[in-house]
Amino acid sequence: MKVLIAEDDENIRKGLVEILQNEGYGTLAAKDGREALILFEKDSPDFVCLDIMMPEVSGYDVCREIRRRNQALPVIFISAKSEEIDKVLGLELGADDYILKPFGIKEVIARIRAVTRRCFKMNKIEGTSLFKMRDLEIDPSELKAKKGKEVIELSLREMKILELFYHNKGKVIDRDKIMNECWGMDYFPNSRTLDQHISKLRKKIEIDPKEPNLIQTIHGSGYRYSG
Amino acid sequence: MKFKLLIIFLFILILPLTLLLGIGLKWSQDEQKIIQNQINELNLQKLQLLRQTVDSFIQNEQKELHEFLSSINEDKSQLRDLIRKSPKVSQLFILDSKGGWSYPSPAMDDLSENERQFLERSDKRLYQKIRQMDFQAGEVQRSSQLGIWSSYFWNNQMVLIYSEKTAENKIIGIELNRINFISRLMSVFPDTPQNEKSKPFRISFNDSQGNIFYQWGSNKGTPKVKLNLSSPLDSMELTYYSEEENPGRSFRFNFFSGLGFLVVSLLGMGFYFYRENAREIREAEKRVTFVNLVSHELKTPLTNIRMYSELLEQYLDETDEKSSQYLKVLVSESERLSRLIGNVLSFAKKEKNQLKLRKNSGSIKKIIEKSIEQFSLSLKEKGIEVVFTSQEDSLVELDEDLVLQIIGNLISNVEKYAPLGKVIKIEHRKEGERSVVTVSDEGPGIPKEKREKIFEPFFRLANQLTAGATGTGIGLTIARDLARLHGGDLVLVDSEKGASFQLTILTPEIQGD
Repeated sequence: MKVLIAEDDENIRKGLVEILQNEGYGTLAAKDGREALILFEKDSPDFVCLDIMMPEVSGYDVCREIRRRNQALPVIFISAKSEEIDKVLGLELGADDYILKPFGIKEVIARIRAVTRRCFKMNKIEGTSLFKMRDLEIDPSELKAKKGKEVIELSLREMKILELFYHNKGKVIDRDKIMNECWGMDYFPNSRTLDQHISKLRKKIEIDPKEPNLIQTIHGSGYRYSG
Repeated sequence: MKFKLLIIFLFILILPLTLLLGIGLKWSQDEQKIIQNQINELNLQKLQLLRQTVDSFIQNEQKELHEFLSSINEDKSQLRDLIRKSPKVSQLFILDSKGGWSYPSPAMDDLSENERQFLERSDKRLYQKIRQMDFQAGEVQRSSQLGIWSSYFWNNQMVLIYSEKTAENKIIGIELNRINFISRLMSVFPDTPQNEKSKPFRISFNDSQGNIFYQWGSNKGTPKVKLNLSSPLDSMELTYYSEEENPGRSFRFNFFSGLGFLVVSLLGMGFYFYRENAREIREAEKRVTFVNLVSHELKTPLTNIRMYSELLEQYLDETDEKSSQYLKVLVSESERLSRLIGNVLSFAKKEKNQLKLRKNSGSIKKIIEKSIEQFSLSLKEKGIEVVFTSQEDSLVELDEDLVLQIIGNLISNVEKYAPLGKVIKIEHRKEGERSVVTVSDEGPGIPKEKREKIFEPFFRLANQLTAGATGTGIGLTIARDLARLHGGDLVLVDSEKGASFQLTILTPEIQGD
């Protein structure tokens, strides 16, 4: 899934790219409205995060142009002023959600995940049907898992990791394969990235993260889901 | 706001001035009427004096006519001779006791033209009039004998008759020479004064059709007062003329000058206050705009600080406790700065009546948990235990950011002002469509007399325990305003120990999918 991020502040833009890539999304970054429209035209993102006040072309105008071509594409607006959000809603630009600055990572992730779920439902993406890993019921389209009554929120990347393990039940999957499948061939995270993600995932799904049962470490090889 | 102020100012200014103007005009009109009436009364008195003069003239005339009639006999020649010699007399006449013409008589074969015309015009008119007259009740009485004046119109001209009854019950009378009579009458009226020092006027002596016989005075004005003369000249009148007067002019001048001065003063004062108020509003708007601008500009770097702190936290080695702790401080302080900017912005918006509700779906329980998490570091550092109980966790309609801001302000106050209580209790329950959240501490509490004041902007309890605490003094003000915006309220409720704030907001349930 690809997200277009249009934000004129370089640090915020890079930070959002980092957050979304960590979540498992492909990213396109634009520093102004004009570049945003070019990237939109060229790379057809699955949804868009738009800053409102940008040079060249404002977020409002970028949204209008996007809507002219695609009525259903999810758009999240980023703004420092709630008045701007009121204007967005008033203009009926079809914004799906908004994020007010200053935002925390969790807030961004929550909104991105909500939009992703809508995308899944909207586009009926293949491979999003429910599956079970022992007592864990996983719903890819909702980016959620259920353990008994407990509902666990998952990122796109975590979902990809679980899907990979599910489809390779009983097999040891080496680190490179996990990286390629879940991060993509073009992406070169450091080795710690994978370990951190697995560690974070274990905290969510394992009864005892220190004694993992579902995702086991096979030292020197990789990881395995025994089933 | 400016427009509203201008309307109020104009209303306050115009209403009393309009009333004053109305009253003043009424007074002025009444004054004018009174003065005009007084002037008319004075002028009428002048005419009445003149009428008395005319009455005296008529009385004298009657005496002379009586003496004249007393001396005549019925000899036709003598009568004719008397007529010829007396310029006063137009015609003499005698009616016999039966009312028939004795002189001049239609039977006379040597009737003069004058006599013939007299008979022609007088026959019925005079005859009827005199026959009807009661000599005893005549309008003009002589000292010893009664004579009657009568008049009628012939060819639009007045004919004046004086007649008396004789001892033989005959009636003898005189038709007066009209021109002679009028000219003698006019001689009793004054001349036009030369070098008139008093106000110009004019009086005319005219008949009822307005034909002026005589007038004196120089004024070319309009008739103001009329007075009919007494009988037998009651078809004639005296008319007083004067120019259009402007009575009460000095009163009106003084009144309207005063009113004008008052208007100018009020306008001046009003303009001064309006301008001062407008200037204050402009200054306040500038301050608010500046606050908005600064807050907006602060948000971008703050976003970066918070975002990168949280990103760094993700990459941190879990075993590196110190780095982890420092990062937590960064995150916590950036959240604190966010709350502060949020409060300042909300306060600025409140000043401009721009606070708005933006409802969505959310969970009160999750919002409280989020808020507690934001304060977890600072609460832990101060050794404050959090006890949170929640009745349920359903999806409701609310403004998440707003509720988070309120809860944040309440927890922040406990952290700042009641840390020694060592505990913060947060309780959440549903009451129908309302969510009730109570935030209590076991700190020093709030004196009863300050229970409402604490919600006032910039008010802070000044005592030893709070003396060192930082804060803007707008947290509770904002919290209450936001609670009310959300269809609820924030109140300080009674508690055995410490302070207990109860937040109530309207949160309708959202039906599940």
